[in-house]
Amino acid sequence: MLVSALSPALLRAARAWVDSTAGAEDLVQDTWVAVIEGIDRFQGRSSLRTWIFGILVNLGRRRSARDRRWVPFSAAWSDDRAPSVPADRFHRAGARAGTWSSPPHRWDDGPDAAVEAADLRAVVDAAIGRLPRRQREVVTARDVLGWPADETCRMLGITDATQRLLLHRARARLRAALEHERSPHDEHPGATAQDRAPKGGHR
Amino acid sequence: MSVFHRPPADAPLVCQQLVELVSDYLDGGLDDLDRRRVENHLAGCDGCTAYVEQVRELLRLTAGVGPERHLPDPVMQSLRARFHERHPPQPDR
Repeated sequence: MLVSALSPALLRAARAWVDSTAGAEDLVQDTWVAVIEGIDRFQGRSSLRTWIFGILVNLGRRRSARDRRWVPFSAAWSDDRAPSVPADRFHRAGARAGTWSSPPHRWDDGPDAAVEAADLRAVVDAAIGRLPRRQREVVTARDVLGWPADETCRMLGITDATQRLLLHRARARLRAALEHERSPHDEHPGATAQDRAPKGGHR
Repeated sequence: MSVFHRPPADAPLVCQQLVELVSDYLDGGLDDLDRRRVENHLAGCDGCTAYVEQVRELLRLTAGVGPERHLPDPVMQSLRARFHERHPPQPDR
């Protein structure tokens, strides 16, 4: 049945606009109700799957706008022009201008890689929830659901240039969130040995 | 630096420029010139190599975010009932 086949992907997509499992279930249920009520009007100009996800996008945005009357300060700024990495991680002047002053390091797997991966997915999931709405929509479509760029643009009603920029910004913020979890000493060059204690306690 | 700022064609990339190209690089969205510049830079820069690998790990983790879930059974039953009410099966003629 189509509802069974598509609902897992719809539930994952719904997290772009709602914060809770219950909220996602409500949104997907409303989507299916709209599909049932409107299926006679489906003209076949897109695939049925695309049409259904389009309904989810519209309902999700309406719900997000209704629920977020108060916008957190951090989300009020679009952040679309912030650098991917803070400027103080690079040399500012001289022959080494633009090169790393505080470079990132490779992340080594701990002794229990499977548990670690589950913990880190939870970190990424939480960080996606903190992204500005437009970045959250694009990274959910492209990286969580694996939609190609052209389908993402069609579904979200954005240009390819906008999609690439939003995705780039979202990934930069998510990487920073992971770095904060995995190697906090890299993001704070002046950290002391005590500050470098890893988070999570799973190492 | 804007993600779309393109350094002069004859200038090698510095690290602060490369990090703005990583997303397009991993998606295969760079033209040949910029892709070669990124790869030439990565060949000699441990910091940027680590950065790119971090973004690759991020993409692996993001693809697995959110366990596969289904709508609860009562919701499924309600939707089925609504569908059959709205679109009753046509009698055979």
